[in-house]
Formats: sequence, structure tokens, C-alpha cells
Amino acid sequence: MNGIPESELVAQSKEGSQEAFTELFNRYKEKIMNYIHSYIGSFAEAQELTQEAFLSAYRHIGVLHDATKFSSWIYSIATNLSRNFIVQRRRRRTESLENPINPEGNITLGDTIPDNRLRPDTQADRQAVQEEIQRAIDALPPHYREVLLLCDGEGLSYEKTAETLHWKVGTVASRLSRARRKFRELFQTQRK
Amino acid sequence: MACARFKTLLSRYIDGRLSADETRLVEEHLSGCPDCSRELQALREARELIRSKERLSPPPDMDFSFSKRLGDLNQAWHPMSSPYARPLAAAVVLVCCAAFLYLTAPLAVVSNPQGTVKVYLAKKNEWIMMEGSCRVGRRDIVKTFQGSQVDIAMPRVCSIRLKSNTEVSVGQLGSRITGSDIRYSVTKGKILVFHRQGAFARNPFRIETPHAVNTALGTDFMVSVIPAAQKTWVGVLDGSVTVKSLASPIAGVTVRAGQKTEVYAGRLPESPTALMDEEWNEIQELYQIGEKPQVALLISTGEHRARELLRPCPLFISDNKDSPIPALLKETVGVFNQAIREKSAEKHLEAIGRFEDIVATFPDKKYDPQFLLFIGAYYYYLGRYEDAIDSFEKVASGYPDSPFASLAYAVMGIVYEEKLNDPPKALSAYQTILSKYPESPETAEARLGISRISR
Repeated sequence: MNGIPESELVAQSKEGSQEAFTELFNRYKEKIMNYIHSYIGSFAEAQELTQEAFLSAYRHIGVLHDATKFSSWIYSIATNLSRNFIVQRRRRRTESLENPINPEGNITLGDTIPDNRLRPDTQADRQAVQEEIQRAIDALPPHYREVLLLCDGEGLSYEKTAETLHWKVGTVASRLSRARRKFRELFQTQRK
Repeated sequence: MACARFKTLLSRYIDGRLSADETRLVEEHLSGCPDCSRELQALREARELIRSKERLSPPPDMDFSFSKRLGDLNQAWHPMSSPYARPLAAAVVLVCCAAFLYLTAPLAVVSNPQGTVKVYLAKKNEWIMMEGSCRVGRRDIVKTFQGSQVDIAMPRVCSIRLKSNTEVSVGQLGSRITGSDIRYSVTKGKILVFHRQGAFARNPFRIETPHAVNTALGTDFMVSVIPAAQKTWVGVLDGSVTVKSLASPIAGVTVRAGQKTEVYAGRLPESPTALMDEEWNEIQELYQIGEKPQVALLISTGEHRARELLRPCPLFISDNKDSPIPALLKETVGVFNQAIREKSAEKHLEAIGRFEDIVATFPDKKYDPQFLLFIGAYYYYLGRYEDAIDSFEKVASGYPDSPFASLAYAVMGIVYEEKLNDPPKALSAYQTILSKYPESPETAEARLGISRISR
């Protein structure tokens, strides 16, 4: 299966070949998992959503008319799943973060989240930077987050990103520019 | 003003997406504008930060998990899979005309034989040829030959597939009350085991071979016994299996998903190693079993099965909580329960109508004869003998090559003879058995019937 072109694997998957689809999964699982991980910020959930993305792709592969577009299609599915996940999590969290967890009502869950920036060693420093990056990503609105992660995180071209997000190439360029600026600003604010 | 225009170009500039002219203009501007240079630096930094984000590898178990889910999905959805896969692999339990059985001891049902399969019934001390399905119990033996295979299903416990040239004997079926062992012994050949952590999770589940004892919990695995090499091979697809040698029952190894081990007679199990590609491919057949629906009439394969069917007999439908449950079957079971609770004939008829809908909506050659016989027996139970005959007739005429065709004629004979007082039709049914199915278990019933009528 290794040398088979992607479009052929898509065609075989449409015929119901589990083997062909598993090869597609193997080719893309790492990329999709990391994309989702950066998007939602949770590794465990990213693994689950990655599997869901591929299962959904398998179920609906019949609608993928252009077999050469599997890559942007699977990113597109991953984007939708991640976006929905964030919306649902926000709904759940709005409540839990604001509810006081002690009877006096003066400590909230938000206060108890540990602040890793204070750890002294270098490993922790690196870790802290990673967390700051993630926090800045988390604070971005979805359309900035998506364009930034697809172009800079996944290295997709403007054209592929446009295909994935169903935008025009010009929109990708302008939003990417604004997303980079916004991200840098959020990242800097955190460091202060 | 100029800066504002240039700032919109900077992001594309760092990506090399500007034309040669634009690039030249931007570079000229940058050389004299510290503000735009800072902006450029910030954009580059943003890009580098995102690129520096740690990339993680998918954990090894993701492949296993995905492959299994894909297999399940494929089975539930692929057009080649049984149309019953969705409805019947569903929640159901044991449907019987009198009540739901909630058993304290699990049932073991041998079904889906392909090719020659023989079953040794210890109580009767005889070997029978497998046709359709039958229950097995302690000390019974199931045997396959070259090119044949068969499944043993225990609802809520496990499914075991015997590959060709395999012999398995039932050691013990366990009890929910005592939590005693569920044990099978493999003397030769190869079996695929799909064990689930269900209602009988407290009962240790063991597969014994002449060389080893394999204990599993909620595991998918394969055991192969090669008598000539005096060894047992164990490979695990999902979960883990503890393998102990009979030579030293204390020390054992734990074989995890994607691993295998071998035990040679009189030696300790080898340390687990990764499955080879071809072994992995072979073991993947496990995805096809376990989730498969099992629809089986719980009757013996012997000469009394016609009477057993009319007693009435239970219909066994495997439970599978993971599969989607179609509303149709869910509702049918609900109505069925209600009918029993309220002793309502009307509800019974409604339930029966829904069973008929299932057959009509999800036709499947493999299961329909058993379903139709069950429906006929249900009508019989309700005293609606004409309707019962209709249902049996569908099996007799629609599935003449099924192992259940002779059974359909036998029950038709009985109903005509004993309930509808129509000896000629009864005689005709019995005679059909003797002429068309002279090897069937129903010949004894047919001869008895003919002699009763001719008296």
C-alpha cells in the first residue's frame, strides 16, 4: 500500500476497502492529531477527535468527488470537529470556572489552575513557552486560529488553506496577516 | 499612510508571496522605516513560535483503537455486511415466548457452520453433524475439519471462532452466582476469541491448551495449538492475556495488544514480542466476529427439535451494546414485554407484527428461516394456528435448502394433525420430509406421524 498514490487509495476506500483507508489514516494521522491538538489544546481529546475525523471521512467518502483533494478535505473535517468541540467546551466551562468551589464563595476554579511560568529550570522554561504559545492560540478567535495553524503550524500553502476553509486565497492572506499580529500581541501580553 | 499600505504586504512578504516589483518596493521601504521593520520582526516571530510548537507522535494504541472502530463501522455500514448486523446485534437479549431469560449461567450456542462441523454431545455420548445451531454444555466437543469453521457464541461473554482442523471442548460455563470459571480447552487447531467485560466479568475466562493456560478479560486474541511442535501460540489484538505454562503454573507472562508469545511443552512462556505483519493480518479476522449478530433458535439438533420449537422455544439474539439500536427492534422488545406483563393478546399480536416487519425490512437468508420459525411458534403459542402454518410454510417453500426446511415441514405436520384436524395435509407434510429430507433429524417425527394418521 506504501507506494500507491493517494487518489487511488481514495478510490479504493470509496469501494469500501478498509485497508486502503487505513493507509490514508496512517499517512495523515500524525498531522491531523497535531493540528487538532494545537487547535483545542488537549492531547487526550485530540486523539479521540482524530479518530472521529477519520471515521467520519470513511463514512462520507462518497461525497469527496475530487480524489486529489483528500488532504484539504480531512483538514476541513478536523477543523469542523475542533470548532464544535471548542464551542461545547466553552459552554461547559463558563459555568464551572465561575462557580465558587469553597463554601465562602471566594475562590474560583480559575484561581487554582497552576501557573507553570514560575518554574525555575530550563525544561520547565521550554514547557512554559509551549504553554504560553498554546494559551495565546486558545485566545484567538476561530478563523484566526484556523488560518494560523494551517499555514504556519501545518505548512499548508495559501491555496490549500483556502480549499480547506472554503475561503478565497486573498482572504487567507489578509486573515493570516491579522492572525499573526493578533497572536504575537496575545503572546506578549502573557509574558508581561 | 505609506506604512499602512506596506504593513498589509509584510505577512505575504515573509511567505515569499509578493511579485518581484512588490518585493523590491517593500525592501526599499523597510530599509528606511524602523517601525515597519519591527512589525516584520513581530510577524516572523509569530510564525516561528507557531512552527516551534511541539509535535507529538500518536500513541501506539491509537492504531489498534482506530482499526477496531473502523472495523466495527465497516461491519455496521458496509453493504456487504449482514442487513441484520444493525438491528439484531443490538441490545436484545433472549427473546422467548414466555419471558425474557436473564440467566445466571451463560449459554453457549454453536452456530454459523461452514463446511463439515461435528459436535459431540456428552450427555448423549454421540457425535452429531452440525446443521443450523445447537446449544453445547460441559464436556461437549466441537470439531472442525479441513476448510470448515464454526462459531461458539456466549451472549454477554464471548464469541469464539474455530478455524479449520480444530477441536475445542467446553470445560465449564461458569455461574454468575459463584463467579466460577468459564473454561474451554483447545486440543488442536486455531481459535479466535472475542471476550468482553460484560455481565460475567467476575468469572475468570480461560482457554486451556495441552501446554498453557491463557486467562483473559475483555480481550480479543488468537490461540493456536500445534501438536506436532508441542507448542501453543498466543497473539493479542486488543487488551491483554496472561499466559502460563502448564510446566510452571506460577510464573506467567502478560501478552498485550499487538504482541504474541509461544509456549513449548514443559517450558516457560517466551517473552512477548511484536506480532509480525502476516500474523497481524490473520488476527484481524477478529474484527468480523464478536460483533456479528447471532440469531439462533435455542433448540437441539436432534429428532425432538420440532417439539422443542413448539414448546415454545427461545430465540437467541446476541447482545451488542456498542451497535446502534434501530427503533424498530427496540420497540418490538418493548411491546413484547408489555404483552407478557399485561397478558394482552392484542399486544402479543402487535409484537408479532413487528417481528414480521423486521424480517420484511431486513431480509437475510441466513437468519430468516429461524426468525420465521420463531414467529410461527409464537402464533402457535397464541393459538393462531393458521397464521403459524403461514409462517412455517414460508420457510418450507422459501428456503428449501436450509437446514430448517425439514423442521418447518415437521411443525406443519404437527399443527395440521393435532390442532387443525387436517390429516391429509399433515400426511403430505410428513411425507415430504421422508422424500425430500431423508437424512434430516425430522424423519423420526415424520414416521411417527404417518403411523398415527394411518392407524
